[in-house]
Amino acid sequence: MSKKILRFSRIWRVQHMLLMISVVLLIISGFSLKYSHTTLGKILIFLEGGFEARGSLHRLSAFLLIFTTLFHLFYIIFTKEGREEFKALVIRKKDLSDFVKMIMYDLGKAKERPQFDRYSYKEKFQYWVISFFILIMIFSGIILMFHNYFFGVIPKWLIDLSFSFHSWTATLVIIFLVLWHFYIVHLSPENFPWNSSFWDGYVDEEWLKENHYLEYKRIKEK
Amino acid sequence: MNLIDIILVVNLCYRCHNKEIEDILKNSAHRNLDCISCHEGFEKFPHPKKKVRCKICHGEVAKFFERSVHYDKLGCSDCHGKHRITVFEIYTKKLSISDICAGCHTEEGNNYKNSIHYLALKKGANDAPSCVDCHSEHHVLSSETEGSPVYYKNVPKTCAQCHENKAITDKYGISPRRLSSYLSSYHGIFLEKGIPYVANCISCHTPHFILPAEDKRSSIHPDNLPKTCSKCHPKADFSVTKGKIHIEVKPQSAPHVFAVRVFYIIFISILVSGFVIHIIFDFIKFIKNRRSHE
Repeated sequence: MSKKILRFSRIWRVQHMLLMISVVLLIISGFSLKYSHTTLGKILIFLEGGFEARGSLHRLSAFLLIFTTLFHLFYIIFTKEGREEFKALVIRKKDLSDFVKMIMYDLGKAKERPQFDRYSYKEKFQYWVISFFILIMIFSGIILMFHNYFFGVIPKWLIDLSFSFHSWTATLVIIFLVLWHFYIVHLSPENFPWNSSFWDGYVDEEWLKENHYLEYKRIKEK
Repeated sequence: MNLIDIILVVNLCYRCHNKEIEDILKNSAHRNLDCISCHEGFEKFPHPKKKVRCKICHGEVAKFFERSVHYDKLGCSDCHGKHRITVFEIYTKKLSISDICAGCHTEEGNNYKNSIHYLALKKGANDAPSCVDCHSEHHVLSSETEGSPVYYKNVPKTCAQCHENKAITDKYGISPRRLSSYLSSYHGIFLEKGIPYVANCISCHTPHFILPAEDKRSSIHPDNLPKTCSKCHPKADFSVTKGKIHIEVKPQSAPHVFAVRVFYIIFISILVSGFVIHIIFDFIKFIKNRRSHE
């Protein structure tokens, strides 16, 4: 057995768990509205306990997502650990050159893989894109959820626009999660079939050395 | 020669009954029938207490009528007249149908006669509906009965016969695809799922007093729209007039929604191809590495 290193704190894992539960529920209940006329949509609506229960489930999980978002904002602003995590997630020039190096390496034009710190450009890209999507979803979703209030406040075309954004961004989120997130944490050679660190927080020392060498070095130097 | 033949030849009926009836009958659709064709057994005197039974000949229609809400209260003659049964002539018939119905349904009749449907019919637009086109002719059912064409779930289908019919919308230059644009809205989706309180066509357009949005009296005239919407959405005010209700994702109809779609389709395509290329590159390298290790 190789040595294990704690990579993700409990509060980090709790946030991931909340995000995962709320987003999965939102995707299921939202998909079954958008595709309510299809067989899959009908099966999902049945499993959700009917069409109106589907709506309640969607709103309930939306509140969970909003709570998670606020929790995360609190975490990255008011806790030391959160601030450090956030700093590690900021996109830097190195990420662009890492990306270019990675492609060159894949193509056989460079001998060495780029060395990543705590988060590689793949993970950073994922964090920022998902954050941005979630903001769009929350804002457009609030307009849709409280449309009865907003009917007297904003013009009808803005409500239509929110609906359009909500629906298309959701499509994008599903594609993004299925393609990119599943690739990074499940299908990519270094993590196949899955990386269990989201659950217990631990990764193999070897794995860390190989995939996040700079982070590994920093931990060892301490 | 038996008694019936004698009646037919010398037409004994008019000895007692008003001769005017004969003239009326001779001009009606029943001009080739005799009195006793309908008044069965009336060759005997005193006449039997027997009602006229239209269904002897009009069996198919009678079956529908017997299942309608009118069956308990009305007979055939209440709408079709007794002896004056007219020859089927579409134009006059269609325009006068509402007169017959309005005999009992006064308010609905008045509303209908002020609606665009009646005005169009009057101008000769023969596709415009009279009462029976929406309520059906003989099988008239309450709007609370599931099989009725005016049951909340069936209303969109009923209106769609014309308003989703390209031939008709093109012919009269009225807004096309009213059903598909409704069904893609929240209202339409909820209705399809059997939620009764959601708006169907007549919730906004009213059942009988249907007028185009340009008409000041119309429930969908911009001045009246806040009131119409606020039946269900209490906060609705003039903000609901800023934008379309029947959204079609087309540059002419809803350019902003259309732009979002175009943007996302392009964005998703770029993103997906980028991901796929990157993933394929990673895998090719992974396989190469493995081979060189072996």
